[in-house]
Amino acid sequence: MTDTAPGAPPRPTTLSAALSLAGAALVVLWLVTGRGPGTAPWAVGLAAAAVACWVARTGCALAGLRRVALGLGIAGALAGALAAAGTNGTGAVIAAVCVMQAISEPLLRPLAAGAVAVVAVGLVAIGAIAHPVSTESLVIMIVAVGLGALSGTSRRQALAAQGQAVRLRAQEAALQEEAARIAIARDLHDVLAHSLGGLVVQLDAADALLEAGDAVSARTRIVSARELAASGLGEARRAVTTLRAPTAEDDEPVAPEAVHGVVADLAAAHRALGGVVSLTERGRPGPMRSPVAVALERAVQESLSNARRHAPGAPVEVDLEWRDDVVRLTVSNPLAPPASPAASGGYGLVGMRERFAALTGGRVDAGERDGRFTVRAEASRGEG
Amino acid sequence: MNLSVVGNVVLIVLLIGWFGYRQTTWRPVATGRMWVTPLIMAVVGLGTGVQHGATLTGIDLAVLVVELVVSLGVGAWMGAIAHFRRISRDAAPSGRDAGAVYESRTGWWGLALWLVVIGLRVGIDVVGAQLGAHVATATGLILVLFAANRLARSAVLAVRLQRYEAAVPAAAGIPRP
Repeated sequence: MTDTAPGAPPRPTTLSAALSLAGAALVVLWLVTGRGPGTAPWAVGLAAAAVACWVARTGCALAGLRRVALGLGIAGALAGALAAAGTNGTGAVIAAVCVMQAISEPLLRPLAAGAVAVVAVGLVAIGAIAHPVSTESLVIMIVAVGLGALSGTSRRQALAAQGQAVRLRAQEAALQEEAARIAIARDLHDVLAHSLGGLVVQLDAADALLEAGDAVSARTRIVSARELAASGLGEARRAVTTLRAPTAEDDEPVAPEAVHGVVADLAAAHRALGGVVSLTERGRPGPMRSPVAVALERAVQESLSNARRHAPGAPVEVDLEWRDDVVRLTVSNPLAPPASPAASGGYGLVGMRERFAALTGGRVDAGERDGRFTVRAEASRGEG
Repeated sequence: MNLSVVGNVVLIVLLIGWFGYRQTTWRPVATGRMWVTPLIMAVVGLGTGVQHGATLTGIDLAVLVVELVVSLGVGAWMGAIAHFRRISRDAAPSGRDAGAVYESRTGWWGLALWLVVIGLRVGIDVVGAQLGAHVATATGLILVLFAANRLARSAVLAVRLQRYEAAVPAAAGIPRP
């Protein structure tokens, strides 16, 4: 049994083991010098055996043999308790130390730990029946064993609290890892679904054009497919760079022109893929935090991808509205029967919702509205 | 046969009858209230013990402690063998036991353990009296021993119920009417 589990008592240091052995030596000294009219030979022998258990327990704890150490601790506690009255109380000291060590071991279940303490007290009393002592002496011996049990309990609880803290930290780390994993999945989806989906459209068109013998138009398609692939690669590189080393730039405000430019680029790409899109902007634009800009860009990208996939050729309306501190994006297209993006079970809308949910005042509504599929995403621009 | 022995016998017969009946029937477990009876018993027992007046010798104390430990042990044993089950909604208890979710029964083995406790009490009393323990054999103190027994039983039962609820949180979470 090793002590690697959370909440396990640390192995004793050499110093604490040395102190324990010094204590045992002191007790042996008491046993030897204290022999006389007040002691019983059987009790002294029993106490000697208890000290032997104490010493062996220390060795086992040092070697990491927790179960053996626990067994020796219990044996020492019971033998010491029975010998207490017959050794003028020296046995009670041994019992107190061994009870403390046994009870502090988390391997011992709580009820069993209580039982060890109670049985030890009972054995002190039985020892006092066999070798009568004064009421005061007996009370002191019982109190000594009780104190051992009490300090063992407090050590046990401290260890349990430590174990709890370790488990909590592990849980937190797991949660963070999970969040990071989801963020990576979202970025992968956004970058790859957009550029690969576009590539498929372009290459299908090129294929059809080549079949029809229109090599010139096919070449145009292939050239724009190459551009799309190159921009997708660039985006993938940027995403990987950000994941590898998130920089302070993430917190720098982004100018509204940059966002406008990115949205215009996405609209242009949509048109290049044979789509129809109109872009409107209302209100007074202002700077925003970088995560808001990224979320907006991804939302436009995802909505356009969805429109191409589920309502090919349908005119898409993209509206960017600036209101005080809030920026609102609305993307809508006529509903194409029978499937709608919400029913496709893709990860795009999920990722979009997650991105906006992480922003101040961020929310996404997506669904059918007046016969159109509409995505409405908004977030506070933050202290741009 | 002196008064102390007669008193012991009467108390023992009464307690056996009462607890025998309770052991073998299903009783609601009111987790808050199950500590009250033993505590009252302990206080009454200690009070009558103090009234006894004689000084407590080392032997008296030793005999008492041994009896207490045995009572605690047997009580814990009873708690360990007690059966418990959820009270059905229709039979939800009212009055003092309102709010109890479980009921328990120790059964005939519990009764046998009671007889063991009493046998030990009588045996230890006889041995103790021979050794010179007089206070320990006082009638009232038997109540303290019964209290210890009940306390240990309640403690073990409480731990078992806690463990059970932790193992089946869904069952424990059913709201009660």
